[in-house]
Amino acid sequence: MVFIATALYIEAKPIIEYYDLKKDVENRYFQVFKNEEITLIVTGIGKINSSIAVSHAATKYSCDFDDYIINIGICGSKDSNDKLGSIYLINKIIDNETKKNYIPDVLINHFFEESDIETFNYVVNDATLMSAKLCDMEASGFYQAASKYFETHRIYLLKIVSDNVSLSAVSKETVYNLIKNTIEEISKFIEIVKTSFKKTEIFSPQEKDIIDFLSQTLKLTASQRQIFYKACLHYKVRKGENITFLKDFYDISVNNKEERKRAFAQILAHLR
Amino acid sequence: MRKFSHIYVEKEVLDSPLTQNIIKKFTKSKVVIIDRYNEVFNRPNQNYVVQKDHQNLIIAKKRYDFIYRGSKLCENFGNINFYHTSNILNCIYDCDYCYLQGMYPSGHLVIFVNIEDYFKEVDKLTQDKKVYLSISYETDLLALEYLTDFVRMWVDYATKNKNVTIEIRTKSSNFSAVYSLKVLDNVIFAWTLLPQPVIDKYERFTPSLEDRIKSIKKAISKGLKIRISIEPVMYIDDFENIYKNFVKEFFLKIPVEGIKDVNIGAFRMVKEQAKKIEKLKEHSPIFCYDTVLKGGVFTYKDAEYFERFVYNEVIKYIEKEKVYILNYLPQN
Repeated sequence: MVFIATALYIEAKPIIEYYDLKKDVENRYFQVFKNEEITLIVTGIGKINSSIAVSHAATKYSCDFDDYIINIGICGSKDSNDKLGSIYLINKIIDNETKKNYIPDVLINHFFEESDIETFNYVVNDATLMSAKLCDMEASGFYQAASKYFETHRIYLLKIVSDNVSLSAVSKETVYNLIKNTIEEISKFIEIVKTSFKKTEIFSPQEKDIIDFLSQTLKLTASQRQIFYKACLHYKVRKGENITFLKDFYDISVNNKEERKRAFAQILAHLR
Repeated sequence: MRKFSHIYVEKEVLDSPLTQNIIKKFTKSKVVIIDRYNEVFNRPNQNYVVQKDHQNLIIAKKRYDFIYRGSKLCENFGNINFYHTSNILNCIYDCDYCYLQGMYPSGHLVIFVNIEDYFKEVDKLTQDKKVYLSISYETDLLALEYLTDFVRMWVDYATKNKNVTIEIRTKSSNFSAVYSLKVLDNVIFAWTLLPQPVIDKYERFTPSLEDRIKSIKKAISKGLKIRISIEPVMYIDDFENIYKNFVKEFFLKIPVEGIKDVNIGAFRMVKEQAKKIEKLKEHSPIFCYDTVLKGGVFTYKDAEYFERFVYNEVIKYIEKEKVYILNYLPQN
């Protein structure tokens, strides 16, 4: 699952349209849009809103160990040469209020420019206040909350320049178009993120079926299942051979604890 | 050597010549300025295994805790004042048995560039006593010599301080990087060696046995007496033949006169670290053989046999007096 957090609905709209996300009408607290692979939450403006919403999404929609979260939104740039619509992957967040730094773990090969960003509690109209190149109002709150639930390399921030530090000048239509114009790049990025850290499975689907089948047939307890799984794993790593020979035990049936104990010991003897 | 996609540099050491020299070598890396290295290194929720596969570099200043007492799990070669220190945290190699895996929250490499501060601390420590100091336990300094020059600097320091004996332990095939250095009595180069099938099974990214032996030959040809460290002795199917042939081959290629001493120690680790590592690397082969916990130490069930076997092979070629065998394994 990829979680996406945007501050405004207008930032989310092009993403909702592109992925054909459906609103979770049962959510009373936040606007959430989903499909099978993406859960998007509209957080509201500001770092506190962002962190509350990220925590809500991660817990309510049960984020998993191998999920990702991306903050997508507009930002200001103090670089007057920066073109509107330039998109950046954030590699450092400065919280203007606390002066703390937060460093996302950028471990993927990607095609975006990278930049730092400074999160303010207010709209910045004076570039001299900024110590980073970009500014926004959510990044530090988003990152702090996200890092409670997601591993550091599963947290990303994509920021699109909407103005050269004067947020008031940006219309809803401009924001919509800025995100819409970059949606293809964002989607390619999401694909990279999803495929970059795929774990190699030690067991084939057939082997997993064998482990499950025998665990059920032998009515193994939770701790016996764990011992059985480990014995299979160690056998495979040690010998470099698959465990399909365990199919020979498919006919085995157990009716009481004693029979289970004997059958289990018999199988383990073949794995050790 | 894999390149670092990102180099995180503490603001305070950005202008250090060593920092600039390192940055220059990685023109394609993104440089991110940070306040303190722990902003990167000590972040919560990092994945050590993924970071090892995509390792980045942090350049920092060491501010305190420069030198540590040696662990009882390490061979002290009869030295009472046994210490270790490290200018670099983490390693470019990725050995399954390495205790560093459970030690730090991050797999990224940290280079502390303020080496002069280390020297000052060693000056203090050695004011009134002789000290044995290992400088390459938490990394492989020689493998990173092309980046840091730290081995050269430590050897230069040792010429001035005769109260310190430094040990530089390595798996590197990079001895040529320090070939021009002086031969000193108080500097010991120590190569960690295991049979090639064991290297293949347990030591990702390390040089082959053959390449390490070439490096050792270079070191001996320069007049150095080197230490051979056969540890951790790792189990492998056909253990006896593999280790027997390895020891034989080694002594055929390396003249005994060039060897200062040999140390042998079976795989062992404190149990908390072993637990962390098993969680991190479920598929690691070290947990697939018979292991036990003895007095809080995680080791092979037959560790003493493995150690003794290798010891008996080694003493066929070199005097017993020169062979140290680990004797810290608890007796249950």
